[in-house]
Amino acid sequence: MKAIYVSLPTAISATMRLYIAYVLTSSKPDCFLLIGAFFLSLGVYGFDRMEDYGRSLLPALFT
Amino acid sequence: MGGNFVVPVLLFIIGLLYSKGIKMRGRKVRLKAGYGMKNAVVGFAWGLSIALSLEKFDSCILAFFFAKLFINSAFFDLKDVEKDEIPTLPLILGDKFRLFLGIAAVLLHSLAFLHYRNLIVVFSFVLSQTAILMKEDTGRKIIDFEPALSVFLYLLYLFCQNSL
Repeated sequence: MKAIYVSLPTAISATMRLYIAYVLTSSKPDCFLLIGAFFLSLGVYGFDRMEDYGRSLLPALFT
Repeated sequence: MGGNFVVPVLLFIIGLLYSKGIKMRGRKVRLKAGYGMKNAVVGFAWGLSIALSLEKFDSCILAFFFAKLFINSAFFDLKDVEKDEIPTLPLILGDKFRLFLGIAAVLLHSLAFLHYRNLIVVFSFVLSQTAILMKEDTGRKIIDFEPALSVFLYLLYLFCQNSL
């Protein structure tokens, strides 16, 4: 759970970067894509951080 | 854009090329090297995935986020300066590193503002410069939340403008 918690700022930043790109290009934000970007980066960075916590994938997901 | 499925695949390939490398015609191609290569890979991966996620591919967005994430990831190298096995930018530039980051951020945001004429670039610039000038720990926290804070300040500005 800690891996996911510490990855939250990165996931939020990733989503906001995409939002900034929408603002800069004056295009309509795609909510589905923004949510996807959030969960994708949360998953990727969370998995990356899990290595720091002893590759504990299952305990991290189920505790 | 139809590239939405391409993004995770490209990120996977870039990640593989960076960490493991691939063998091509008997030669191993691996991106993990010093002299800012890691920062360039991070910048390119972010820039490309954001530019491809837009309805219409925008090369200026790719360039902007490439440079921005290059600067951000270089700043994060500061904490590992004594442990790094590969020559990172803070190791090479020494005391001039923060000056380099500051000048790079000024140039990047000036060009971005001239091109997009959007206030969100100014908020992003102010936060980036504050992070570079601050102590390492505080700077890292600001960099972490810089995109979210920029968006918050921008939305606040729009809200204030509409309510006046």
